[in-house]
Amino acid sequence: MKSLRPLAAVALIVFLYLLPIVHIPLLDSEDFDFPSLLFYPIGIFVLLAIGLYVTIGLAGLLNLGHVAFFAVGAYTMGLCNTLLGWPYFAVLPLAVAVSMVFGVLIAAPTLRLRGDYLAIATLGFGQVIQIFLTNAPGLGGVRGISGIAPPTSIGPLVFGVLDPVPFVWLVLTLILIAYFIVRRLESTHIGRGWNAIRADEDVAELMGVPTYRLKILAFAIGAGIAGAAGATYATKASFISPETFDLSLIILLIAALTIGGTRSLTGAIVGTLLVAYLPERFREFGDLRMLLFAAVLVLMVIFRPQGLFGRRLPREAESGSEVVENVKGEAHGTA
Amino acid sequence: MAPPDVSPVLLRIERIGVQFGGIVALDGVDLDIREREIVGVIGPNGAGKTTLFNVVTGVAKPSSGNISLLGHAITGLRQHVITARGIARTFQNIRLFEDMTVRENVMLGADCGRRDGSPGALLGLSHTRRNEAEARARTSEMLAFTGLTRHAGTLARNLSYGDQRRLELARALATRPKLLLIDEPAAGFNPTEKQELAELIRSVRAFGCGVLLIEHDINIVTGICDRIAVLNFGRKIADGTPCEITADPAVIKAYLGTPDAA
Ligand SMILES: Nc1ncnc2c1ncn2[C@@H]1O[C@H](COP(=O)(O)OP(=O)(O)OP(=O)(O)O)[C@@H](O)[C@H]1O
Ligand SMILES: [Mg+2]
Repeated sequence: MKSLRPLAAVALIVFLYLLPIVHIPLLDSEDFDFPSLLFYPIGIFVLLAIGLYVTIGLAGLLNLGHVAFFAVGAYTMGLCNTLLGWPYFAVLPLAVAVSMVFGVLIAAPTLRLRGDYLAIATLGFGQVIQIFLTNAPGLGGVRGISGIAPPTSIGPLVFGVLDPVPFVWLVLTLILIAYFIVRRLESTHIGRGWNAIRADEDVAELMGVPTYRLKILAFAIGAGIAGAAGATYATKASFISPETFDLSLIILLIAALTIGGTRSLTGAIVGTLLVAYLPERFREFGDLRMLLFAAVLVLMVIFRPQGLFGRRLPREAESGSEVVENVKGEAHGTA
Repeated sequence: MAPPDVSPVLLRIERIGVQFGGIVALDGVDLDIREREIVGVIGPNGAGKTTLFNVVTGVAKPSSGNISLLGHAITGLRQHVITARGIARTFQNIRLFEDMTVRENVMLGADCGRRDGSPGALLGLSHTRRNEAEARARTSEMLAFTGLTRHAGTLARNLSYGDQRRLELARALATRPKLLLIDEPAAGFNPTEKQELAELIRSVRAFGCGVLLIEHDINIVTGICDRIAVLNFGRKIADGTPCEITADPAVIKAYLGTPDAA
């Protein structure tokens, strides 16, 4: 079983790279261009969700300012490209770095806060960034920045306006890199520290976990991934405006994480795939699909609060003594 | 095992005072713990025993006084730094990471004081790989020591009460403490369990660490402690060998109570 896993992973990766060029009947539809959809919203949202998973899922920090880091990455790309003429691949690391700096700047003062206060502070930060982008001189106001160039070609791979496939491969590559980074960190003392912070920050600190430093790290990594998503979105869209970085996006992402299960990276990704793809697929149902989406979300929260891929019941769900008895019984069985 | 009177002072608590609003929880408490010494802290409910642990671990801020570990001041240091310097604790009300396995709980303690950060973890540098291997080895050792090896994969929340208490010990010991603070480990235990636990605590000395033990069961305390300090209303009213303490009139008065002390 173990020896099959690398093979399965390779097969999955090959499949993902083929996805934009093969025609899969049920996934495709007359209404849309499937490869375009794979880039945005699907690919970009998945990248954003991986970043959000680090702060919310791993470190347990309810970060509602995530979209602002997405915006910082996009505007870094937009400004550096249109004003300085720097190509995408040169700006990408810079966009990641600038977003990380913003991540640390917002995290340093707010991470002394906990729970609801942190959520409100980060939410405020998201709003401030959007207002700043609308009003600051040189950023184009509500009209934003246009004429952002696509990446320069890599050999036979040409990033043109008409062909979304190379962009899908680009975002897929970034997703795989982000996935690898997060999985790697998760499996070491960094991940254990985040887990402990999420479970009980006070005890974590007393057991030697540098909680403040690790929380900042979670913010920086989450922001960096969002920044990469922003730069990549900007280079494909060629046009960005404050509207793209609206509050509704963070709500959608959190819904996606909730559906997939905030405590599992696979869950976060699958949840985002569903949330990004299904509404497009069932466009013919019009507004009804939003109602359906809301209904599914409510049902999930009631019947499967840990999400599709959630690992185990949260504490609250076990407060009924019956359930506790069952759990204890199981423990005896396995002992 | 004679009280190691000649070994150097491990922890020095000097004139420590702690106040919560108007409540004086600790008032000018002095206490020395020597290396490898097991010191008991006893006293009635609300005497300030847990507060003493809190102030040593940096959870409560002292309003006066100093604490030093091997001659270095630790007052005012961040809690995880104090732990990394070599002071670990258990909790009176068990506070495990309930949704983590037994092994993960201990592993977290074993990670204490690691200096390798995210780059090492990301790139799989040899430094990080070595530290991970060391943490795993330390974890296995602690699980074996506390007899929890067969529960390694169990979620902490599903352990029996007694095993949860043992896991608290294993997690704290995994941090490689020089001083281990144990807060009422035998609460709710039957006599056999208490005996086993006493043996376990006594054998902790094999790891080279000193112990500060809060315990209400006087038999355990007199059985394993080299010295006992008695707190009452935030003040230290006695400090001596188990024989001296059990014969001390002030202690007897505090414990049995008199109409005006109650
Ligand atoms: N965080 C706190 N805020 C306010 N008062 C506190 C706090 N912690 C302790 N106290 C008070 O300080 C006093 C000493 O409490 P402490 O918990 O140290 O007692 P203890 O000796 O451990 O008692 P027990 O044997 O019941 O555990 C008590 O009066 C308690 O109410
Ligand atoms: Mg107490």
